[in-house]
Amino acid sequence: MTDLFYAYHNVIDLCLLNSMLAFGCFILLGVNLFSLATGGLMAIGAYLSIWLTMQQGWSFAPALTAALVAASLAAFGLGSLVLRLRGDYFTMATLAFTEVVRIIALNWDSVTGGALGVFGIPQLTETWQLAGLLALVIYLIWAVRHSAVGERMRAIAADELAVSTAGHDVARFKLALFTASGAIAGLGGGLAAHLNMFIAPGDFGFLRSVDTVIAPVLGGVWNLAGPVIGASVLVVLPEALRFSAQMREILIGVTMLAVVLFLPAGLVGLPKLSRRRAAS
Amino acid sequence: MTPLLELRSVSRHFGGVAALSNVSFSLPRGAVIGLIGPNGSGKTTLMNVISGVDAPTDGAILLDGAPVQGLPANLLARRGIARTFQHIRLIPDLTALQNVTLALRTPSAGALDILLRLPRLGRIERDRRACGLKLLDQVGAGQHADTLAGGLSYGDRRRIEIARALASEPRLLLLDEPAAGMTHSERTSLRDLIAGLPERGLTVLLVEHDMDLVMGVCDEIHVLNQGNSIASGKPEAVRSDPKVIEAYLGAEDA
Ligand SMILES: Nc1ncnc2c1ncn2[C@@H]1O[C@H](COP(=O)(O)OP(=O)(O)OP(=O)(O)O)[C@@H](O)[C@H]1O
Ligand SMILES: [Mg+2]
Repeated sequence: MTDLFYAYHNVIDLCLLNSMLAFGCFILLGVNLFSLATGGLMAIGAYLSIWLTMQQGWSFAPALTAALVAASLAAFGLGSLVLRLRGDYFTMATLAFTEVVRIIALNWDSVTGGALGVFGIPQLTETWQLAGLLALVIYLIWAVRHSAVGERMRAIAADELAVSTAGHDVARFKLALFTASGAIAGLGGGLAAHLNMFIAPGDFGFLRSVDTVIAPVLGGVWNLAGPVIGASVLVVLPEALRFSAQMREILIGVTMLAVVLFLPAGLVGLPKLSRRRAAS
Repeated sequence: MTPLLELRSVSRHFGGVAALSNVSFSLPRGAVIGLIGPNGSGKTTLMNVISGVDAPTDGAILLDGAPVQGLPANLLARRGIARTFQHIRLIPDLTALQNVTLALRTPSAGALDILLRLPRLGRIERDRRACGLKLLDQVGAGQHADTLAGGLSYGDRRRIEIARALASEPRLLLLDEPAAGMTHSERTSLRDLIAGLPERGLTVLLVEHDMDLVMGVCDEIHVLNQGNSIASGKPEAVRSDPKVIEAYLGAEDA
């Protein structure tokens, strides 16, 4: 068992990290927000935290906390501007944010190392930390969903107008969720940066954002297991099949299409679907 | 005493269509006021601009003498305006009770209560549940408390929507065709419910095509036709007003 762990602990770390990041998108998808800001928010957390640990001599926990706070603030600012946009326009604006952050990272050599990236980052992220923080995130989301606030979330997903005529500020609620998702992305960014010895601006671009939002869509948007299943499948499958990076992107694209078309509830909807097939 | 709500030359244009033109009237406190008119005469549009779902193109709406036109729906709800919808807008995948508690003004749990699941949380949620159940009982839908709203009959859903509107403790209740789709006996109990609202401090604006209900429960009626206010007065007077009769007959001819 321990041998197995050492052989695959890279894969396990990635599953844990990507699951956590996927929850940031999961809470937004729950109110019909399809955000591609994850990459940009992660980058903020990642670069801030390595600057603090490598150049300012901070220890890991306060650096991670700073990453979380900085990305939450960025999400709050971004959300205040773009949450009023509808559907596709919102998604485009969040993508533009990720691109802007990436371009800044490419040019801010003193902090980000420019296109070459930053080398020799101390590997401070441990599997148990990833597991513990993922568990914490899942617990917090579970607690919110099983409260009156969770009911309000479901109501907003179904009918925003009904919720606002019931006296709730839907815009403020979405901004709070977007800020929380920024916190998760910032924390994830800090953890990701200290997982490998190297990061470059390309690690936090469009593909990273798509990957993260696809995981809960693939796994299931209404079930807490969804993001974990989706993120793990996206890590393990290409690894197991030894796909090239391009092949992986094609696979993700095709899987996405298939899920959206045939499995609106995501992979967690499979058992139900097969039961129904069996019954009919 | 200032009326609870006053409309001053309220207009709403959709491109070239004048859904409302210069509508003025006021809602005295504790009254049940009817708003009738043929299809497309602007009744729902008027409810929308009063409740903040839509904004008037022109004119003023005064709540307790203070202008409120153009304010967002959630603020108007907080200031005491609640409504139901002609096309029911319950949340289908929440239970009847959850739909009602969604609008409760009683304090909801704070972030710490929820995240740490403090003992207070249980008490707060029990209180909210009890409030919601009471409201469902008042509208006669208590037996459906834990049923998903999407699966209920038209009449039940209409009543639950009224309970949800009452949950926000409004002073003004806007009902848009509450009897539509209800059976005869459901209409009778709806009538009793509406008639009892002024005693609880509510003022009601009722849009309804069921003339027996309107005539039976309203203190005063305003009639719209093609966005214009064409008559106002006591039910008996409005019923025999030639302009009203013509508007309705004209609508039937069309
Ligand atoms: N969003 C909108 N865009 C364009 N026109 C609209 C809009 N809403 C309403 N109208 C028009 O305004 C007019 C009034 O419509 P409204 O729904 O207020 O009538 P109503 O009196 O409620 O009718 P009904 O009895 O059928 O419910 C109609 O001509 C309608 O087509
Ligand atoms: Mg109408």
